[in-house]
Amino acid sequence: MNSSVRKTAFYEAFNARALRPEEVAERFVPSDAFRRLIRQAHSIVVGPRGSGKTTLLKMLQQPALETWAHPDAEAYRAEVTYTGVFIPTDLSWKTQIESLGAHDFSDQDHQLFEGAAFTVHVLHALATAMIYRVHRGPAAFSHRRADLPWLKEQAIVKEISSIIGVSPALPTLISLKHALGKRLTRLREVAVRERVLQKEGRRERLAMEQVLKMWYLEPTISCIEVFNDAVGEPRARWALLFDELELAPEWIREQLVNATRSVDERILFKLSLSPYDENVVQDSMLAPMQDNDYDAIALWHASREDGYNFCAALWQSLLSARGHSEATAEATLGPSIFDATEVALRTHGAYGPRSSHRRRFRDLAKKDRTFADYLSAKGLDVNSLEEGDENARASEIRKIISIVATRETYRVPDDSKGRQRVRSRKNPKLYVGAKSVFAMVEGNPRWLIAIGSRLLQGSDDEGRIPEAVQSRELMSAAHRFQAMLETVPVPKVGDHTKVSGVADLVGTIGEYFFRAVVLEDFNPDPPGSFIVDSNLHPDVVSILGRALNVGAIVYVPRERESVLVGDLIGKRFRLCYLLAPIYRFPIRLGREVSLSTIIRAMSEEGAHQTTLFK
Amino acid sequence: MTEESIAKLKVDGELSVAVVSDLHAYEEVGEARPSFYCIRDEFEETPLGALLPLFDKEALQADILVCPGDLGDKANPAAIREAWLRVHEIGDHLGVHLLAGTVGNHDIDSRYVHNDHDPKGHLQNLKPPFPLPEVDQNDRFWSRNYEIVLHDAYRLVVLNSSAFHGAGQDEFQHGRISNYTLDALKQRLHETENRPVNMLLCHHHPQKHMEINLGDYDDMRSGQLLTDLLGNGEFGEWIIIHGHKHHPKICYAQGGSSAPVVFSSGSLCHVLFDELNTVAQRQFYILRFPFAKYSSTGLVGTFRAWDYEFKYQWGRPTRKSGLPSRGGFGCREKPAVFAAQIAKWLGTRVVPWSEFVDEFPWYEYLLPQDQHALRTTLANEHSINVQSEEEMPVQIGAAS
Ligand SMILES: Nc1ncnc2c1ncn2[C@@H]1O[C@H](COP(=O)(O)OP(=O)(O)O)[C@@H](O)[C@H]1O
Ligand SMILES: [Fe+2]
Ligand SMILES: [Fe+2]
Ligand SMILES: [Mg+2]
Repeated sequence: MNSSVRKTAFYEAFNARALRPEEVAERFVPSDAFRRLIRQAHSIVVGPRGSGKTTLLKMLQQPALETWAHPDAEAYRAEVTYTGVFIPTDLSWKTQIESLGAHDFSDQDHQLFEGAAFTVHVLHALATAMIYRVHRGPAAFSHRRADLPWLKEQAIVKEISSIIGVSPALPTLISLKHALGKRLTRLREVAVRERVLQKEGRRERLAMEQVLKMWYLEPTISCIEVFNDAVGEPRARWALLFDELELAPEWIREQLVNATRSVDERILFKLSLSPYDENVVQDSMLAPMQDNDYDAIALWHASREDGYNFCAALWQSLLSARGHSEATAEATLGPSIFDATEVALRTHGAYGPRSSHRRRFRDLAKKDRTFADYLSAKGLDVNSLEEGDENARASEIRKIISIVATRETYRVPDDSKGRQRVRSRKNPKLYVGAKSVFAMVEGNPRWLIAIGSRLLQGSDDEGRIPEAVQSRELMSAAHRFQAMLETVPVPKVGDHTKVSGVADLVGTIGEYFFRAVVLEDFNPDPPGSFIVDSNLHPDVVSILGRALNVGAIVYVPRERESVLVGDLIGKRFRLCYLLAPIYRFPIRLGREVSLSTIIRAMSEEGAHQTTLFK
Repeated sequence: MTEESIAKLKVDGELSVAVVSDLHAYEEVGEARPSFYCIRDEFEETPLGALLPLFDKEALQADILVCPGDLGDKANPAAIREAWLRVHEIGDHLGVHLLAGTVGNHDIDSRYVHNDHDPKGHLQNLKPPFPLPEVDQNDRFWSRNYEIVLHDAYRLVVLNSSAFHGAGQDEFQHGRISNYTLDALKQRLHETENRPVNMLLCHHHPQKHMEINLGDYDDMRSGQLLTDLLGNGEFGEWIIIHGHKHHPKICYAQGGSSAPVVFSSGSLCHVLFDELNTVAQRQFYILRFPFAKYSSTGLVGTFRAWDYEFKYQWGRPTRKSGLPSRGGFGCREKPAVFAAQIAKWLGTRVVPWSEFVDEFPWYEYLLPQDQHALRTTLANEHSINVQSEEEMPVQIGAAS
């Protein structure tokens, strides 16, 4: 059982897609991203799978805000002075017609149906949001309730119905919503009919169809106007929350991205998108976003410290759910070797005679000639590290601690007789500790919840997780992640690229870093990140895009570079830290090298590769 | 019967009856499976076992669990033994004070497959005793083809409509109640006092049930005499709960307005043959009888139904399930009369459904088909519409 890593998606069960807003709110932990998203601005949330995009958008709906009981919730609620309208991307926008096998539809015909289905979904979501404001039962924290006497409701439903051309069974918002649901059925009927009737005369027939005529924007604005007036808030704003736009037809996505330029000031757009989409001419789409029309919010963390606070808060909530409300992250998961801040080192007496760092330095120096040489060149003595009081020396040591620890863990002594060049470590203790765990889950709530609940199953009475449990569970999560990477579909690539898919590419890079850190001569600043250079075959770039969307590689924007990746060429990335125990690299952002260099170096190694890692 | 559960029944003034029917448990893996209940599977992964999480999730309880026959498929003794045990587990989880089964055609080895002389011995030797908890009850059941269980709130007749299987050539093709049994039953009914809730449990349908070409050969012979007897007014008001058709349906028997309610339970586990697939699902039910108010209403009640979905889960029925997730029985008001009352009360308003139900508590005791007829009449004659969400009404009012 144990060895069979199931090839499924990676913890997809933890997904906010199917959750009701109230359920999302139950466990919601606010993040910096949420603080930004909530502002009265157009925003675009970008993040890999599981990074919490859907959750963030769903939290802006009234029922979510009304059930959210976090200590800071009141302050957040006060900032939401608009009505959130959540619109999940529905595959029917794109595939409905294709699924009918209507191959003879022109692009224009397609767009008619796509636009109509999209419009109905937006209006349906709008009606739902209106119902929330008027008709919900008592809530824990009432928020933006509207007082709409029955006669007024009747009047606005009649008005809205005539604007959008539906006839609800009753003059109520609930009926209005259902009438919109029926309209989708009607759309489908028309599509089926068209498939049967073929091309002849289609233009004319479609032109006659009322359901195909509407584009969401005007009716949305009219409906909002009617509602606002009825409840006496003529200037109130509405936020259209479009989730998973990467699944929407390109032209709709472009419309939305560009909409902010002209649209009514009562409407806010908040969109979510995965980091990379090869079908989009990225820069043309991203341009408007970068013109400050959109606040772009990235849900990943280039540096491992960034996500710490959010992870710690989420971890805290997982602990509380298990009855350890007093415990902290540091107390339950312990310190991390990779936490080489001065504070951490001092607190744990890192340099003292019995410290583990000191032992590592000594052990490595003993078995690694090149490291010993490095130390003596620098004038450092392993027996008196603690005397490095001068700032310069302390930082010298700090800089190399992660590399020393990793190297010491995996390197065999120079004089060892065996043919083995790497010490095998099944579940290395190297990667334990709060800072490491949080870095490895990459601030991704799905990963933290999934892995965290496994960890907590192995906790003691105070919620502490033994190192052995941590290393075992992290290793097993890493294996699952790697197995998932094997299954990521990629476009068929030619063999000129020398990489066959996401897992393969990531493996090549990881192995390269491992060599640099562990096998080659000691290097205080080995490579640990890469630049996507223009020498790469386009196929490789598109594989990288997939890797980015599933979180296998992480974008490291330079200063003043937008968090929106856009074109990958020229950008800097690192490997996801969850892969660290598999490829045995340190949790640290290393120097950059070009990806071409990596691929070239590794393919020259050729046959050795396979003997090195099994 | 536990003291506690009987006391509770009195306080509630309501009797609840859970129904698991036509399990068709089987043993052999390999050939085309008759049901989703192979006794070699993990219990949790059978439709029966999957009920347990449903009970937890929805906090379901019941006073009585009935099982109208076809515990096993093709009379496999091991499968029947296992299923009968497991049904008790279900009863325990529901907290019932009585579990009553009866004999289905598949429980009797009428083709002498498993031995050549005793088609029902395996049933008579079941543990716990079958079909009722006490040995002397069962002695009477096997010798007289029926037995009566009496309680302050109810009278339950458990009838063996497969009593003659194993005898005559084609007898196993259908059910039967013989004239002797009818006479004896009539006598016993005279001797026992009428109860608020009178129930008869049997396997075969007591009247024709011919939907979607299910055939009209297999009903309970003389069933009409039985429904006439129960519906003649002398013995209180009745509900008949039966299985066998695997086609869920609720209706009134032919006769006058006190003809029995006939509840045809769908199968809990059966692999539905093609004709059925579009109109029936595997279902589980709980019926409720609010007997405390029967002095003014007569026998009325409601039911809830659940569908067995893929992956060992029970969920909400759809339009193609047979019975909807909620419905009622016992209110025989004509839609036209009812609709006129409603229209008068409503005027031009739209009201939340709860307000309507407060005013017309009868509504929930209409059969699903009568509710449908009423809504149609309301719409056509009075321009009154009902808005539902997820198949549950939420608003009613004058159409826009
Ligand atoms: N801020 C948060 N607080 C608590 N749980 C969260 C938070 N964000 C996400 N989650 C949980 O993490 C999982 C993945 O989030 P989801 O919104 O589905 O990610 P995405 O839409 O980016 O794929 C879900 O189970 C969700 O409930
Ligand atoms: Fe059956
Ligand atoms: Fe049967
Ligand atoms: Mg999502």
